[in-house]
Amino acid sequence: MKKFSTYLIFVFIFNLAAANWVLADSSTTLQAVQEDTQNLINIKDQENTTSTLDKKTEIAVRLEVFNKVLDFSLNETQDIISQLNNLNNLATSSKSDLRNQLLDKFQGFVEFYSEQKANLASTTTEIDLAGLKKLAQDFKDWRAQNYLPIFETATDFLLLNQQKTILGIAEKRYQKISSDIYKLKKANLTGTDRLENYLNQADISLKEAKGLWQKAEDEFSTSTSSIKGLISDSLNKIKETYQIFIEMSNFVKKLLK
Amino acid sequence: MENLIIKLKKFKEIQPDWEYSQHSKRVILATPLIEKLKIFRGIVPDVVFSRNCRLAILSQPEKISLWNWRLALTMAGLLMVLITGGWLNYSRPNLVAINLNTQALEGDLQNLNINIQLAKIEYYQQSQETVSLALQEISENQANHLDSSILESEKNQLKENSASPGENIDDLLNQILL
Repeated sequence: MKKFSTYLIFVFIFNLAAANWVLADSSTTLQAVQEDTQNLINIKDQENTTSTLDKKTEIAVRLEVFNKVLDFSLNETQDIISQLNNLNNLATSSKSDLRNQLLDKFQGFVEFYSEQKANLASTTTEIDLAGLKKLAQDFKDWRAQNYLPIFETATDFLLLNQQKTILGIAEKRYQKISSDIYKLKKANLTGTDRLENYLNQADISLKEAKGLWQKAEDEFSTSTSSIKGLISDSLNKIKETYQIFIEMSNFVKKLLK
Repeated sequence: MENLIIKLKKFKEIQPDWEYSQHSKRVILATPLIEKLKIFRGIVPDVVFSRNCRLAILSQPEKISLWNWRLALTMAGLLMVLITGGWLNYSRPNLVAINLNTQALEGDLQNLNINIQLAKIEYYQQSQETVSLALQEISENQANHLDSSILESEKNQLKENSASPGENIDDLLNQILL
C-alpha cells in the first residue's frame, strides 16, 4: 500500500509538473498582468494617501497594464486556435462545423488584438489619462460582449471533446483489465474474488465519469451555462478509476509472487 | 617404423618346406606331448608373485560404466524441473496481465493528462478574472475599493454563493463598479 501511494504521488506530481509546463507560456503573461495590476493598485493607493499626482507615471503604469492584457489575450487566443486544430475526434459534421466557426472567430480576435496593440503603440506619446481610461473601458465592454461568450463556448467545446478522448482511453484499459481478470479466474488463482470487487468499483467510477460527461454534452447543446464543473467532476472520477487500477496491479503482483 | 611393419607382415607368407613339415609332424606324433602338457596344470605361482599381482590389479582405476544410476536419477530430476518450470513460466506470464502492469497504467496516465485538464479548467476561470480586474484598474480612479485583500475575500464569498464562475466575475465587477 505504501509502495502504491508513493507511485501514485510520483505519477500525479509528474502530471502536475507537466501541467505547469504546458500552461507555462500563458501563465507567464497572466502573471505579468497580475504583477502590473498590483503595481497600479499600489500607485493609486499612494496617490490617495499623499494627494500628489504624478500623471506621467500613472499613465505609463496604466499603459503597461493594458499592453500586458493585450499580450496575454493574444497568447490565449493563439493557444485556443492551436487546441481547436488539434481536435481529432469530432464524430459529427455539426461538431466539425462548430470547430470551423470557432476557428474563424478566434482568427478575428487575433487580428483585433493586434490592431489594438498597434493603436496603443502609436498613441503612447499623445494619450491623456481620460483617453486611456476610455480606451480600457471600451476594450472591457467589447471583451464582455464579443470575446467572453465565444471564449466560454470554445473552452467548453475543447474540454468536452478532450474528455471524450480521455474516457475512451480509460474504457479501453478497463476492458483489457477485465479480460486479464477472466484469465486469472479461469486459472483458479486464489484472490480473484477480491480482484472482481475492485473491477466492480472501477466500473462504477468509470460509469459515473461517463455519465457526467454525457450530462455536460447535453448541457452544451441545450444550455448556455458553463459545463466546466461537470468536466472537472468527470476528470476526478477517471482519477479514482485509475487509483483502483493501480491498487489492482499491486494486488495481482502479490498474488503471482 | 613403417618399413619394419611391412617387413614383419612379410613373415606371414613364410611357409616351411615339405621336408621340414613332415619331420615336425613325425616328431610331434612320436612324443607323448599331451601327457607333458597336462603336467602344466599343476604349475602355481609363488606367494610373492601372487601378492604382487593382486596388489597391481586392485590398484588399477575402476572402469566407468556407461550406465550410472546416480547420473540417471539426477538427469530425470532435472528433466522434471525443466518440464514443470517451463509449464509454469508458460502459463503464468500470460495470466499476470500485461494490462495491469505498472508501465501500462503509467503510460495511460501520461496520455490522459488528467491534471493538465484540471489545471486548464482552473486557469481558464482565473485568467478571465485577472484580465477583468486589470481592465477595471486601468479605467477607474478609485483604488481603495480595489484592495487586493478585499477583492480576494469578496471573490471567495461570491464563489461560495454562486455555482457559475462567469456569474462570480460579473457580480464581482458589479460590486467594484458600485
